[in-house]
Amino acid sequence: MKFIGPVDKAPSNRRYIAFAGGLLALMALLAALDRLGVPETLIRFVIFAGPLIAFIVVGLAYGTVSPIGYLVGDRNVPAGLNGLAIGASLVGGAAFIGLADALRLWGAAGFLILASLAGGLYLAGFVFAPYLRRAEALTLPDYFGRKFESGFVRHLGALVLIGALLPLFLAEVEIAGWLIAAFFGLSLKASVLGVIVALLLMVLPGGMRSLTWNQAVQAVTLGVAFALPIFYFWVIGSDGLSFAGSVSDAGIAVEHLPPELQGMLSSLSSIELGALTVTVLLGTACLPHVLGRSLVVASPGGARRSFAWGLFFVAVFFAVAIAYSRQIHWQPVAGEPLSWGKAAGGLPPVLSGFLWIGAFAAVLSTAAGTLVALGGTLAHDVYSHAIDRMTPASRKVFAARLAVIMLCLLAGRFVIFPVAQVPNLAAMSFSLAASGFFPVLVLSIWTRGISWVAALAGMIAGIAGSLGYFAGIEYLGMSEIMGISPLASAVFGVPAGFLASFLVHTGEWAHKFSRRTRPPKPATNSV
Amino acid sequence: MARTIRIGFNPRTAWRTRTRLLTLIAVALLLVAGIGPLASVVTRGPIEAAGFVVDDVRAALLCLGVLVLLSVRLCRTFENIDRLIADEPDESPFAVPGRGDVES
Repeated sequence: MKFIGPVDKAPSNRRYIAFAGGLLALMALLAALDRLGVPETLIRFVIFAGPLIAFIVVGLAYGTVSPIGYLVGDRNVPAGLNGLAIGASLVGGAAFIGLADALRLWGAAGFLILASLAGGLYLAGFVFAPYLRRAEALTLPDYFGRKFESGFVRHLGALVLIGALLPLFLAEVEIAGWLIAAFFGLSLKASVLGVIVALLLMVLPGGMRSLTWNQAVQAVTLGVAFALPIFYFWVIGSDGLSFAGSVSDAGIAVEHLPPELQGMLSSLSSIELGALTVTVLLGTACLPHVLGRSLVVASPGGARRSFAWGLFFVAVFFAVAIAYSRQIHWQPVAGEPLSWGKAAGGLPPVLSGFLWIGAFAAVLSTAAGTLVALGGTLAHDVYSHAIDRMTPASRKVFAARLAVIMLCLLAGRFVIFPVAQVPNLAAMSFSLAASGFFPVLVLSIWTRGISWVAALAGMIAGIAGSLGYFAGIEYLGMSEIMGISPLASAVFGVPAGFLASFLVHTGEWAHKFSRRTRPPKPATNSV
Repeated sequence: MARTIRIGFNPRTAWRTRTRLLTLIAVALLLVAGIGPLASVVTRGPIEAAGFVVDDVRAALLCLGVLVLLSVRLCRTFENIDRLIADEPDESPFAVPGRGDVES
């Protein structure tokens, strides 16, 4: 295994099977030690630390100095493993911790949101992913820059990406900080510092390359951790306290789900719910850190297959979450802090500790995914296309690393000294991504002749429609239109984007047509 | 297939057109798959169809299952088309490809 520099071949996926086997062996060993009277605290610590060390080792082992490796993981990721990484990117900490509870609270509407998430992945896989890969882009804004040969579109794309992903990154770091603080009994400051160090060790050496193989390991960990408790309860023939009693503590779920989404979906009208569903569907299809995974495979067909595999893993995860939601009988106490005893929730210490590392892996995978997407965009689209256009390749990697470090410091600052409602802003990510990217992606891939001006107009109008509605409701005291939540503002932004692009395109076409049919000028006649 | 090609017929363009049509069909099927949970939510209760009761949970699981099956099937079809257009090598899902394309 090379520690630095590009690799000729992607790492074998047998290592992941070996990793899953190793995890199960470690659990069996610790379960045996538990029977022999080894203290529970030690067992939980070992089961938590084992996979965490594996994440860090993978991050360090796949370091690279090549821009292709750092930004798109050498483009040699197998579709199945990329699917695992896509699943891990989408699931995230909030879903791992709160989905079972949320489904119970939301009722039928929650299942509609699940279907929208899966549908968004399906849409991304068949409508966007292969064509993005075919464009040979390094980042999503890079695709716009190459397609339209315009710096304006590239930079606006970078701005939308940062606006959509930064709150998501901050929210995930905050959840990770809460988890570590609850697990080890540390202060939030110390926990966030630990999370940042872990993130840097996992991502800094290899960027997308480290991230890809790490996300696959994290997907295995979170998948096994999520599925094992229900299997355990089924084997022992008791529904116990279910998942809610073990890790899906409502203290965290209520803390981190945006207030607009807490237990109120069932009271929404069909129009309000439809708006939210459409936003989640289109937003998932355009989430840059998920869509960016289409750029790391070897071929356009591989990108499509990656999303099909990702959809399969996500569907299995959702099915298990639905099973948990039907089992939960435990009534959580909102706002009550997590404690060691509650976290155990009727599970043996090995399983309980494994659940915690599963939750932590879910948070880390999304946090690292958003971090790499942000760092790549800042280095490639902002630094090397706006600040230093003659930058050599090695400096681009350095810029990406610097951006990753700065983002981590920023996250630490914002989580410890919060200045805004990060969960609310994170929930806006879907709307912003959908409004800024969906019209331009569809028009650039599925129509011909859209100019950079039309694309720019579509992007600006989409962002203005979405953010305007959000700001109007949240800050200017505007009343909601047909009760549509500001978090579902993509239903205004996306049509606005399409309309603006269409109008500009029509204007350009009319201008061209008029020039063709216009009689030649006298000067031309004389010539 | 070569014998059936007429003068002026470009098979590559024809396959591209089929790719577009197939993508449209994929999107249409996505909407169809979404109808189950949507109907269940709109009616705010279980729906009975041909003696089979579809409640919200079943509708969601049905939707997820249909989407996964559709995506697997469509992937195979797209792969065949891709191979016809660009002679892409056949890959098993977890095959480890060699080094990817090198950027210029």
